[in-house]
Amino acid sequence: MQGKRRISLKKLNLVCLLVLFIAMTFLAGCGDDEAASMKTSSGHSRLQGQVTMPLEGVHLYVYKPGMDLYGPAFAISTATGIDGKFALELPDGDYVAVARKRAGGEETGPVVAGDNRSEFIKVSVQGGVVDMPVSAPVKIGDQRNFTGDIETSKTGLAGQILDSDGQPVANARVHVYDHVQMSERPKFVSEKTGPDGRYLIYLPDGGTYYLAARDKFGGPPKLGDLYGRYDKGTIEPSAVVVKEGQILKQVVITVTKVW
Amino acid sequence: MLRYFFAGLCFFMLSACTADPVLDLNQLEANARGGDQQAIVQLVDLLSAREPGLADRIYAITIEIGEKAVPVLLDKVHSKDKQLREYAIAALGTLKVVDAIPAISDVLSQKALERRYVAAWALGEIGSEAVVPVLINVLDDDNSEVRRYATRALIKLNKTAVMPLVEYLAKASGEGAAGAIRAVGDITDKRALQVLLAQSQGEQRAEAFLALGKLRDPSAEAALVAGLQDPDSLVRMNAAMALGRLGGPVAAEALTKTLEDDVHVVREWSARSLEMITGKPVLYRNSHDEYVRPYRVYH
Repeated sequence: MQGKRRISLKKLNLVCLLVLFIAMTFLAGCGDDEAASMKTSSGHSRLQGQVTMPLEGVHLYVYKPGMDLYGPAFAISTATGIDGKFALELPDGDYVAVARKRAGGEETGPVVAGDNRSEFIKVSVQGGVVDMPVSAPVKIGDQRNFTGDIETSKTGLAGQILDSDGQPVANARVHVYDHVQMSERPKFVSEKTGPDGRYLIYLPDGGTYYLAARDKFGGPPKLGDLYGRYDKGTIEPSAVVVKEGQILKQVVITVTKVW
Repeated sequence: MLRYFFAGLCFFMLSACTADPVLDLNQLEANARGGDQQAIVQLVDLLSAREPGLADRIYAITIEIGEKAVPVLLDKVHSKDKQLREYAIAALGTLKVVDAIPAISDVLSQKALERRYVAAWALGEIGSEAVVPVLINVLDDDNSEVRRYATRALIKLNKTAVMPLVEYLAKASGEGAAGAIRAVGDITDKRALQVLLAQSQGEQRAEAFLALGKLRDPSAEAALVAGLQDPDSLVRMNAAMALGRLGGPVAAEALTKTLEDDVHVVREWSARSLEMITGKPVLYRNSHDEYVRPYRVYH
């Protein structure tokens, strides 16, 4: 199979290379689809409501219990209009809903300061129409710093990023958050790892932090990306406690493919 | 003259291509989407390709082909090629193929195999009640990624997994108990309350305290208040963290005392939980000996 795909180079001329280049560009350009999330689904029930003030351009993200509330949603509404109203068809069941409006207009990606977002709302949809008012205030706070921007301190984190085979992962970064939801931009981001997968992050203060590692930067992890949170399987990440004046060592984060 | 040049060039290209043909991925994809079984086999085999990005592209196509690719994917679950096996299992999980449960469960149980995490992940995606005992069985696996994904899968299975986990927890210890505690904590089913209270007296009490906090049952308050006196600072921190979600006046009084704990993060979480219980601002002493309010870790 591999042999069939290879092209013998001995007869290639400039035009062949050009054709190959165009073909490769075409193949590479066939971008992956967004992670599986339904815009709407045919079902028996309808979840509808209004995002107050009213607020335009808000999407309602609906998750099933147990799903990662910051990953791809089970269903996403279309953006609300000027009246702030939304409607979504869903199969009967229990859900967790959250309204988000990103200032840049994106449908996916982290919610950052200046964006609007609601609390997580538990809702049960059982036949007919369910009305749900939603309040989505503007998020305040958060900023991101590369570790290189921080003056070297005696406080920090060190460790290694590994893949599912236990091998070091190069060209990945550790993202450090101080909020458990990890939905905002990371507070600190490490420099890229080298071939040994090792990282070192200096932090201005000790405290409770939450970590993730990934090979891409910006936006939610997509199919094929390498991504891993520092957690033990729970919905929320595990807290990493860094004492003032301590470099907490041997913090290993495993990344796996996003399926 | 130019015409002859291009004619020669075309002949040259054709002769090069006929000597060693290039795989036409677009044609292969079209044939596979049309249901050509041979093309599907060829496509699925490409999941073993090491060229950057190619296997991911093939994976997306395979998922879109869906049901027609399932028999071929099932054949690859026991492939010796770890990448092909990983992609095939992931695809079967994404496609929620119930018929794949026995084969994927078998891979999960073979400790010598690499990348078994994907088997735990896929079983969680398939979501059948039948996978619950299989996942519980690997909660104490030697591989931390297998344990982590099994826990996550059980949380995803949600209410279906509660009673088997409760029964398992009655006898479990070590990593197995820790994973089961984390799972029932995130499922937040009060049927797990008693077994979590029992675990809060043992070696996994730090995990049990976090899980009790997630259950938000006030009857756990006394156990958590007692946990504030634990010799292990991580246990004290978790007890303080959990009390914010369910505590009342008794918890508030106890947390006021741990505002002066020796360990900074215990003081910080005591203040944070006190604010949650009382709704009033609370100051604690940070690592610079300044009295400050805790920042809101939950948005």
